[in-house]
Amino acid sequence: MTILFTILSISAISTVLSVFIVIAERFLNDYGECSIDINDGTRTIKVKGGDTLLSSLAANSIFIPSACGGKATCGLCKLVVTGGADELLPTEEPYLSDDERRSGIRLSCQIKVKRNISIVVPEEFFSIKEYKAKVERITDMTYDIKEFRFKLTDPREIDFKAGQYMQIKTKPYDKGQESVSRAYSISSVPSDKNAVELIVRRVPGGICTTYMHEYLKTGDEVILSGPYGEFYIRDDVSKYVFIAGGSGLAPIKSMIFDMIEKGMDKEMLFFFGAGSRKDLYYFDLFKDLEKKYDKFRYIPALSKPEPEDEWEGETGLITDVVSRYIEDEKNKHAYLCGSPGMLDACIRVLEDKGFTRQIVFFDKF
Amino acid sequence: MKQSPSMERIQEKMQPGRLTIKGFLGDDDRKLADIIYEDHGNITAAGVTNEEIADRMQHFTDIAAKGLGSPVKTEDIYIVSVDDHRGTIPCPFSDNFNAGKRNTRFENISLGITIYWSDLNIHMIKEHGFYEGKGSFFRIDTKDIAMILGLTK
Amino acid sequence: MDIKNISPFVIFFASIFTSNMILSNFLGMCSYISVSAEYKTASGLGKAVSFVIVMTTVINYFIYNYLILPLGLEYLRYIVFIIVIAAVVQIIEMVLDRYFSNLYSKLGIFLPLITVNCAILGISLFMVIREYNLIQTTAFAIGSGLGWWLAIDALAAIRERIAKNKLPRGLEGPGITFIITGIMALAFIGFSGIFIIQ
Repeated sequence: MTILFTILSISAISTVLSVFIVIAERFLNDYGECSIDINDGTRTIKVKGGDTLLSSLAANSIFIPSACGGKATCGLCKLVVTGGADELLPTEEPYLSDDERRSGIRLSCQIKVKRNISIVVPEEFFSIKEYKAKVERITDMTYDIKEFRFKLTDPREIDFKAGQYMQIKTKPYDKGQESVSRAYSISSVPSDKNAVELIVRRVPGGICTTYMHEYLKTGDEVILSGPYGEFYIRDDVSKYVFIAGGSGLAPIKSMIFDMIEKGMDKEMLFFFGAGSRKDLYYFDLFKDLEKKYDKFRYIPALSKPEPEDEWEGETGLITDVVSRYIEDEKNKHAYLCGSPGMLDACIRVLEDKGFTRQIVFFDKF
Repeated sequence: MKQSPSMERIQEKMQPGRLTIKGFLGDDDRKLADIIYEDHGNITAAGVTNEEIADRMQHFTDIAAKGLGSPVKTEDIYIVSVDDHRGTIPCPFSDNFNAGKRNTRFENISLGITIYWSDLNIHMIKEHGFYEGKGSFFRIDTKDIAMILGLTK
Repeated sequence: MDIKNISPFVIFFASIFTSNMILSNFLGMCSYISVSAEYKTASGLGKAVSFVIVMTTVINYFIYNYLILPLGLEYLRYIVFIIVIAAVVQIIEMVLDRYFSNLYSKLGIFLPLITVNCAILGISLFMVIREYNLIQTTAFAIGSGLGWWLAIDALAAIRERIAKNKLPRGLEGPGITFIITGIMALAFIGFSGIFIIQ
């Protein structure tokens, strides 16, 4: 009898309490419908409250840059919030300077939409779309660089400027690897509207490059977003200097071929820095281009050629080679892409030759 | 030792697969606070500070950077080189510091020891006294690091 | 003084000062030590714990006196009290998440840890042992909650003051916190004797 009472009482109490919790949750977690006012009434979207601002916007095809997928790690998803958000969260604090906080800038991945909220979204974000794509072809370029060609399935077409980049979302693989987003410059030309090609160099211990080099196969589906970036050709001068190293060749290749396709009658000097012959790729492609188009000059430079390379081209550090060929900055723009170390060193060389910051362009990532 | 919620969040970000494949803790399953505490003890016992270690590493990285990938010999007994990649990696301590993906290879010829560190390691050592967990590729043992870098005998 | 008929006012004041849950009974130390580094967070936790104490003690009073006792199930009180505490903490988590998300984020794991705060279970059990009536129970609950809140506020304030100072090696963190708590407890002993409820 006592056992029966015991079980009944505990069950009864637990049930009553559970009912209370469920009712409380229904009531407290239901934020109802909220509206997001964008750019002072230019656009208003209605969302179901409770999700983060970042995901609510993405669900409505407005993509805010994010590399960490909303985990308050990359600090890229900043937006101006003019009203309707809760107090600043501790997870946001390290990413926002005092000035930014005063301007109402917040991390959109940390703000939960609980009521009507008004935000300001920069114009360029509206051209960013999310694309479903299939891996069409993977080509080995060097021992640590692969070229990936993605055929876009939904939407089928993309509009971008040569030099811009895409973000690719990895799928979780192996134990513990979560989904991350990483940026890669587009190496194909804008006229190739139904596909994008990315050149990816393997980073030791890198989550995305390991995923792409070891797990991605032809036919696999990926999610790309873009196009992003302020790195594209400005049609103001007659002479163009391109400097690239490693995977930095990607946007430069896109720019050079795009300019030639469009019939832009410009002088182009393209420097490519590498260690030895095994780090060179697209050698024949650019050598052929040199023959076809006499205003284009290709200068690959090897810093430590191996004897078996039988290298007859320029040798030495890329900075020295650039220095030998460039005298001044007259009528020239310079476009650089490569690792931060190479960029800094080359920019210094260009500045010595008279190039100002206004005519030197590079992608800061 | 129980950790504050913010330390727990940071330790979470250091797990394999969050920011890098192997994470920052190797096969060390102690709490982050304990790891930093013990390393702090070793460094102090060696007679140096985290800042001195980090500055010395930065000094070698700057010299190596001039080589743009090729090895550079310095002070007669050290050979250093860097391997640079595009992109940045955020600091797991969530302090809005983004390090370039640059690894420095450091060889002490007289001791016959080669170690590696990344730009992020220099920052984590200087600002947070964190040398990564035991078993991690970039961890340099705090009992020997001062000697390897030539700061002590 | 007849223990059974102590005035609720006496109980109220005593549970804040002379029988303070932390400083006299050393209950609820876990989150007290861990969350007292920042004043605002500590204060937030203090309010949350007080609220949980009052809610659970009153609910437990009714359940004990109108369900458990009549059915002769006294031995179930531990389980039942814990279930009630867990449920109330769940609800308060949701409330904080909705209306005070900053505090919710700062407390992190220590919010659900309120469930196993022994002070809360202790207060319900004391209520049973001392056979308080409803008014005494309410006074006791509110007073104990306020006492816990007061203790953690005081500790957090002191810790923030000394945060920039250099401490002997090994004493940072828990070390100095225990010493401060001990000194506060010594100070509160000065109150003992004014009211005796246990």
